[in-house]
Amino acid sequence: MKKLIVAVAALILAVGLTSGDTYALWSQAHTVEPIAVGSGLVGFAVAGDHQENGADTARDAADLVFVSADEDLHDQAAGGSAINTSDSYDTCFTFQVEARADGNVGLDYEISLADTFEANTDPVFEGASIRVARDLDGDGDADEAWHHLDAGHPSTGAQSAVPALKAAATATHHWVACVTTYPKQQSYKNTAWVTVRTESGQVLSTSDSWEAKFRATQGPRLDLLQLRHEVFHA
Amino acid sequence: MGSTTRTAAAALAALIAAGATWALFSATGTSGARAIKSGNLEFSHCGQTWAELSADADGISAGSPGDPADFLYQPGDSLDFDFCLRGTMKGDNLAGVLDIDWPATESGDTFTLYTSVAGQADEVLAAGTVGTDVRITETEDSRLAASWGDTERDIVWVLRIHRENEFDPADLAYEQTESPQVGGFTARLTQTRLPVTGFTGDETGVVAP
Repeated sequence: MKKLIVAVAALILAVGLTSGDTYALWSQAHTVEPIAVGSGLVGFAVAGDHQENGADTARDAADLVFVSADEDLHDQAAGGSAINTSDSYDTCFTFQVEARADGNVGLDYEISLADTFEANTDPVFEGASIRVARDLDGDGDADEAWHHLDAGHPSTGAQSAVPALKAAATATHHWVACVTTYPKQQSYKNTAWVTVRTESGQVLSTSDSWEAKFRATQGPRLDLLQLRHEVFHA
Repeated sequence: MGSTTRTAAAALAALIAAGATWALFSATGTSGARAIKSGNLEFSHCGQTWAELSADADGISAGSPGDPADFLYQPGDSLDFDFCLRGTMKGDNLAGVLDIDWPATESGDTFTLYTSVAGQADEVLAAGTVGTDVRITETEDSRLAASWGDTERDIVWVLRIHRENEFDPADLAYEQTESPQVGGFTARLTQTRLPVTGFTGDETGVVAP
């Protein structure tokens, strides 16, 4: 009888195993979703009183930004509506550097004469020099030593650092720049001579002339300063 | 007697095949109910912590770094995320295996799975690059062996995911981008047993059809 029961049990077990049933063992699983981490940004831009096209913004770490001269600044640097032949002109303006370096990165930047400015042949700006200084309180006055930029010293020689910003924020640095120009004379003189012979044979001669002074018009965009930035990991 | 048994078995098989019923002789007795203690297997995710390892992490204390979503990750930063995994096992013949599966995406992160036992030094059970599936058996972790009797085992593991990369200015974001993500995995604790004659399933209990 026992053999009979065993045979039946074996038969039932065999039917069960071959029919694709599952034999469940205990198991528990947990899925842990990915964790989102906030991401920091870097930003570098310059804007100013006479920026020709508003702010100039860097698109990547290798991108230079420029302070350029608009027509108004060009006129001021030319000495007004007409150019006199004599003096130099000192024209000052302000600009702001806006920089952002979130998290554990900091940012350095350096101001120098724009490469194209050093070789420019603009009647107003040719041979000009520029000096820049930090304006710490944003009132338009220089609060730190001037950096003189000219052909021999084209850059500030000192970097202005923006510390790592632990929170998302933008640091603004105010600067004052003064450009000293030596405008070339831009004038046109026309003289008319009249010579007559009198009945007595005397020759009389007179002349009259007019002279026009005109201002040089703004040519293609003229970049005065260029700013190079560098981001470093703290 | 042997001949009789064979005859009966043949008749029984014929009856079963025919779908008929067949009454055996039986006698009924009553026995008192016996309680059978059930074993137990539970598995849970028992929390997570993270730490920022980068230099100059001022403003973020090591003890309570806050919500990682508020941290402003930059290329060059190093982060550790520790995921606590806890298994509770109770049963005379209850052995287990721990599996960790990763999503298909490649992050370049590394992981370390180690034991966490109070008063004992952590023991590294597995380490590698995220994406490499992990299986821990009683061979690697003796706490998973079936030799504990009625003692309930509280087994804690820590899975550490480490993110580190070199600072490269080319990787800096000048526009808002999608937030980076760390981690993401499925951990499973499964009972195992010794092979049984006639049992054709694998150690997860699934029988091939």
